[in-house]
Amino acid sequence: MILIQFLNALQFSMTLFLLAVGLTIIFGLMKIVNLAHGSLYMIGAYIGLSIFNYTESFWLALIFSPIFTALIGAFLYTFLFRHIQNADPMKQVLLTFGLIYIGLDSVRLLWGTMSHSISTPSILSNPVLLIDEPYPAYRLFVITVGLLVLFSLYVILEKTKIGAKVRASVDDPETAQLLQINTDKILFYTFALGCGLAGLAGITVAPILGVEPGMDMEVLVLTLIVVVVGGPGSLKGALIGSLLIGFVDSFGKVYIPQLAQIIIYAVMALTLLFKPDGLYKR
Amino acid sequence: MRAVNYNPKLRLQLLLILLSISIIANIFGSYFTRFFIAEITILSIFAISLDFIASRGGMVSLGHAMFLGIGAYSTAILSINYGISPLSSTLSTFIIGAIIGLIIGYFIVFLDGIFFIMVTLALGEMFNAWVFTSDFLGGSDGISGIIRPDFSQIGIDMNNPLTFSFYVILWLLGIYFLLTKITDAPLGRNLDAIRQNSHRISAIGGYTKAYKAIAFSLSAGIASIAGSLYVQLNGFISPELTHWTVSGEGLIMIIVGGIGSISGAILGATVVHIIQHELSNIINWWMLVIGFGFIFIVLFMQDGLWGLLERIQKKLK
Repeated sequence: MILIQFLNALQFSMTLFLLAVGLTIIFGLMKIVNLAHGSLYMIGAYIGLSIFNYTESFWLALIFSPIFTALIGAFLYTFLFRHIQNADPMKQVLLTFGLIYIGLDSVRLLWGTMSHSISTPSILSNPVLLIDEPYPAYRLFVITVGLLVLFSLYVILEKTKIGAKVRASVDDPETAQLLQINTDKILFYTFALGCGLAGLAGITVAPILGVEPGMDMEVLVLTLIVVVVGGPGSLKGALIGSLLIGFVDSFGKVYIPQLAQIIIYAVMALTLLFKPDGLYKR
Repeated sequence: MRAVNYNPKLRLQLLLILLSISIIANIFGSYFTRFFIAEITILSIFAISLDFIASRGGMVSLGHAMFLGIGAYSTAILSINYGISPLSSTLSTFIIGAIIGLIIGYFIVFLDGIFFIMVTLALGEMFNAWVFTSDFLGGSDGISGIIRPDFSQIGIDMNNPLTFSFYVILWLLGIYFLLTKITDAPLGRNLDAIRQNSHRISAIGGYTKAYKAIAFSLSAGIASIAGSLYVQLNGFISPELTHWTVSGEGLIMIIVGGIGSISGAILGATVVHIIQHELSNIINWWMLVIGFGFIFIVLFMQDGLWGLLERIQKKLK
């Protein structure tokens, strides 16, 4: 029982991590909090739904929906985010707030207000036996995807030259520019990557939670909390924050359902009071 | 944040224009128009409360719907459970909201920019989550059966939308004059100074934290009044009132109207609410239009409608 709870919490944490990673990198590089990040997650799920309905292949949806979401992100960056980099935070926040409206209505117009579902691919549809307890194989797959992304991000950021450039741009954009690093280009690609990961989160949870308008709002606030608790701009922080919030939320819902949500906010409030820069300050 | 609008003359002119329009529309309008005017007036009070801390204090609150909720629920509880008269409950909600605002404000005013926004968002959502799960507050059903103030002794029937609209307009005027006075008083000047350079104020021995906390508390109290009037208008509370998007819409109102002019907030609340309402009657993809509208205004209209009016005023001179 505990093992099942643990895995559920881990799966949820991994989904949060996929979302938080994009948001936190965008914050680190641009000092912008993108409230429309949840909308990209929703759009990723819907694009995946369309691909799935058209081709009847979950795997194609899994590959192409993050790519399309990344393209949307690239479009948003080029035409919108690039121009508000130095604007006052209130304007940045409200601009992305406008995007939430656009995202929600576009989804409703294109796919309708009904909730949809994507069936799990046949290879993962049978439960796996873990010490006598059956556990859905698909959730294990989601955990694996999250860990793979975590691992590749770690390798790219810590071991490659491109990663070093990204880290340099996050830490000190001006010095990075002096050293001939094209921060604008780096911003463009990381922004698109972040949005693509949000799309990946959307398509991977679609078989578990279904696809419906409003799924963006459910994760948005949690993702923001993960970012703030972990320390905005920090990858390690995003991981620690996701695990903390994912576990508190999943276990809280089982053992103290009345207070589960309030505890999450309390965790955030306490973090901000005692460590205003988050658990991991860059 | 940019310098604040000081144009008391235009501020008053705009208020008088909006006031006369609403009075005329209220007298000659239908039942629905009157209800709509009361709704706009209450939203204006909420927008003013956001405008005050955003412009004077540089604090952008994405959790102010919490205070709307505190006002709404305390009014309901005071008048239903404790039998306190509706007018006294509205006055008490100001005090309750202001005290809670002061406590919260004390802990969060040191945060700036995006962190302040995030913390207020989280606090607001925490309240929202609590309201939804609390049996005492009616959970997702909310509370119904809230009555309006009773002035029948002096021959005024508050259940008539005509009189109730005038009643909320009076509240708006009272709050408007309070805030214009505060803006021009030492508290307002101090806040301006703190927003522009808080380190310098600390260096010359000013109390930055105390002033900001007081401003936040005042704004919280005013938002609570808006919440209180809102439930008296509708007769029931839906917990949706405390969702963070309500605060977001409030901020959009002040961006549309123009930050820092008080009257601009009223204008913004009026325009945004009318557009939202009319659009949703005509087309069912109104959110798309509104979303693009928000983005357009944020990108291209620096001072909102207030800036437009100021330019017109300069040309006329």
